[in-house]
Amino acid sequence: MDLGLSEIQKMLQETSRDYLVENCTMDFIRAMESDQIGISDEIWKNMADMGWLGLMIPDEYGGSGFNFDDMSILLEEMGKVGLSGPFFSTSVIGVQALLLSGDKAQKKEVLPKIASGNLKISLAFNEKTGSFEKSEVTNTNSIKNNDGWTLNGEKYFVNDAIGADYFIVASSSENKNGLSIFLVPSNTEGIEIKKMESIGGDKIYKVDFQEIKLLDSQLLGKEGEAWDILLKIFNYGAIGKTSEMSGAAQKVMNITLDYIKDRKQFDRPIGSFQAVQHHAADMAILTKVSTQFSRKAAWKLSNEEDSNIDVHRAKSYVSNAYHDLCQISHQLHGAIGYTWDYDLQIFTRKMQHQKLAYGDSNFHQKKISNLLNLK
Amino acid sequence: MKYKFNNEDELFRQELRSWIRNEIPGDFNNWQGIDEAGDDFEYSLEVRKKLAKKGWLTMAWPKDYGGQGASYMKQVIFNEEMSYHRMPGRDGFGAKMLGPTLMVHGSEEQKKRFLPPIANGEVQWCQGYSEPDSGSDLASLKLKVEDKGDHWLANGTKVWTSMAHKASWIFFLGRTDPDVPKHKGISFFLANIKDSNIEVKPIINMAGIHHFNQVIFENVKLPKDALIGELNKGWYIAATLLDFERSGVEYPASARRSFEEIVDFVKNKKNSSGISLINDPYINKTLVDLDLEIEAAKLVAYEVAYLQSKGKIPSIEGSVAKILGTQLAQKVAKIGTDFSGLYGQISDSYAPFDGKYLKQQLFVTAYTIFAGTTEIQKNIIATRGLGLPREDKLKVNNKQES
Repeated sequence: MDLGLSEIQKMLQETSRDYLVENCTMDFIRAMESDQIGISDEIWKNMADMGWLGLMIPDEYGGSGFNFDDMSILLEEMGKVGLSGPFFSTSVIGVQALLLSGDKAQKKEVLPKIASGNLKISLAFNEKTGSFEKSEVTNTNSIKNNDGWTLNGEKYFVNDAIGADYFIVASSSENKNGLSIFLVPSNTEGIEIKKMESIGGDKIYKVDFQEIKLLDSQLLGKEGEAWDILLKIFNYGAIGKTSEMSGAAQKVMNITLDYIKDRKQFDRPIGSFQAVQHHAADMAILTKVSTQFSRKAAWKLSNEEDSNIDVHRAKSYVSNAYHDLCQISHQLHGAIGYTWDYDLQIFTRKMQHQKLAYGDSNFHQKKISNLLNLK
Repeated sequence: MKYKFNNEDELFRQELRSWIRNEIPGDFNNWQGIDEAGDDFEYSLEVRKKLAKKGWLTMAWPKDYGGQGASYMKQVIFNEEMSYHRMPGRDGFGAKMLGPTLMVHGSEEQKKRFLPPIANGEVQWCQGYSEPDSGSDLASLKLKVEDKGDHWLANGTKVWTSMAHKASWIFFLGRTDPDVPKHKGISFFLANIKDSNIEVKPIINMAGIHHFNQVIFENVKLPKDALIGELNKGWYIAATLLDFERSGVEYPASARRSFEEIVDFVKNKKNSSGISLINDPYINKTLVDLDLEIEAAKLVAYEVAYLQSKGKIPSIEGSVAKILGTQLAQKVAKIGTDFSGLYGQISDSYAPFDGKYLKQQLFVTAYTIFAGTTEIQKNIIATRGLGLPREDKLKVNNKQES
């Protein structure tokens, strides 16, 4: 048992913290909300130079060769400054999708370009229902023909579609009664992207795929066998989000502590009132437990075959806990925290995406119920 | 980062587990544990002696004192398995609290006299801290101990003294200097509780269980060597205890066993329409929530032990573990009772588990109160952990207003 960070993780934590605090200020985060891509070219290039974009990409494909639990430490720091943007879609989801399903040629084509900052990816899985069950993929299908495949479908909740160079598209497979995933260049004829306005400045789109012609070489993994891979990708997505949320929880708590130490009413800092202190203690509890749930699941994902129960526990707990924590923070801030100019509300809005992405609390609770055989 | 016990620790867990399963009278699945403070006290002592023989009773003690110098993580495993299996025999007051205190603060004679009986599992100690007027504000305690030259004279009352009716010795805090700030006039003493001037009066709790006592000292003469450590340093000596394992892993471990038992019950229990209770979505959701709370308390308990193993003082984490663990115990008892339907009010054999969870619900009400209430723990988190100003140390300038 070693609940501390490794030397490498500590270094990653410190360097990323320094960089992010200096470069991703709240003004920058605000500006990125209305930016189409959600990141500046300069910072994207820096992320490539620092090895973040290819953090989980093996050396042979031009990456840094780190594990997901290392990535979770970086994501905590990104969560802390409120950075969303295409990093998650590309360097967490995209990279894992390629690592789990790509053949050598596909990896060689895509991964080095991700690491060098020259390629972005977006996963197109969800459809109209907006769930993370297998039955979600009903309106997208891929039909085999002589030259390859023809893909048709409507995808919703596609993150970072604008700016993506490739989509990874999940479709139902007629022949095999399962799901298949394809690597589809975004400049392929027949793709239409429409914006879905997201409350936290996350870039979310509806993407239509019409009569898309695909080659056999664009199929990732085997036909009809993508569901198991998608489940694994969702696990990384879920814990990536709990990492962001536990980092953000620390930040929200720090903003709150600064405020209640400074704000005076009845001639004393409001942080000296026990009624206020006990709310603050509750925030500390939620933050601590969230971090532990999240890190344990991240470690399990990186080191053990079966980490499902830990993933489900973490995402269901942290999604609720972080919501509650933001609510407490607003309560302690009074009116000021409710204003557009005050930074707290940025975290509160972004929280909505983080807690829903890759399964909300109820979704994961049902999975826990199944795994514990509560039936 | 590594969220896994090492092989050596896991081997110990297996060894311990098979020993316990072998010791448990009858079938483990029906084993409900015993009331160590009641009629089954003697059985508990029997197990304690066996634990002593195995070296497990004092595994945390340094080798110089006959212990094993076991790591914090190994201690966590020991407590986890013992609690999960509802196994009696551990010695919180002697082996866990007084023993380590004597090692640091006791004289050579005191160590020679008091440590071996603890290590052999032969003696029951109890702890005299709380008083009728000193609960959360423990340092305001009044039990007076005067220096009479060749002996000490103790007068006063201790209360909520667990196990005093079964103990042969008591360690307690007394006021030795009333004229200095309250923390600085307290000393740490030992007394033979069978002394004719010490009266132990039972306090029956609302579960009908005799666990607490009032302990009245009336002109109790104590020999000079009843004092542990320096005079008036008792408050700080008592705090030494905090250096030893206090992860609170007992709470999630015993909750996990109850969880399994309750799940079995609701799987087999059918409602009037013949449907198993486990398929009631509300019951199902309640159980998943409970699973999460058990895991939350366990994660923090492990973190406490981990920090201790690194030589760090887990101030926030210790309090968080206590808050989560004790609230968890109350939740388990409530769920165990609620799921019994109307039988949740019946305390005899008509009720599931003979009304065990109902009795537990009454008993565990004490958990969020003893050893630092939830409110005191939150004060500690807020002031020591988060750096918020202490309310009682605040100088409020009210005069400015008028």
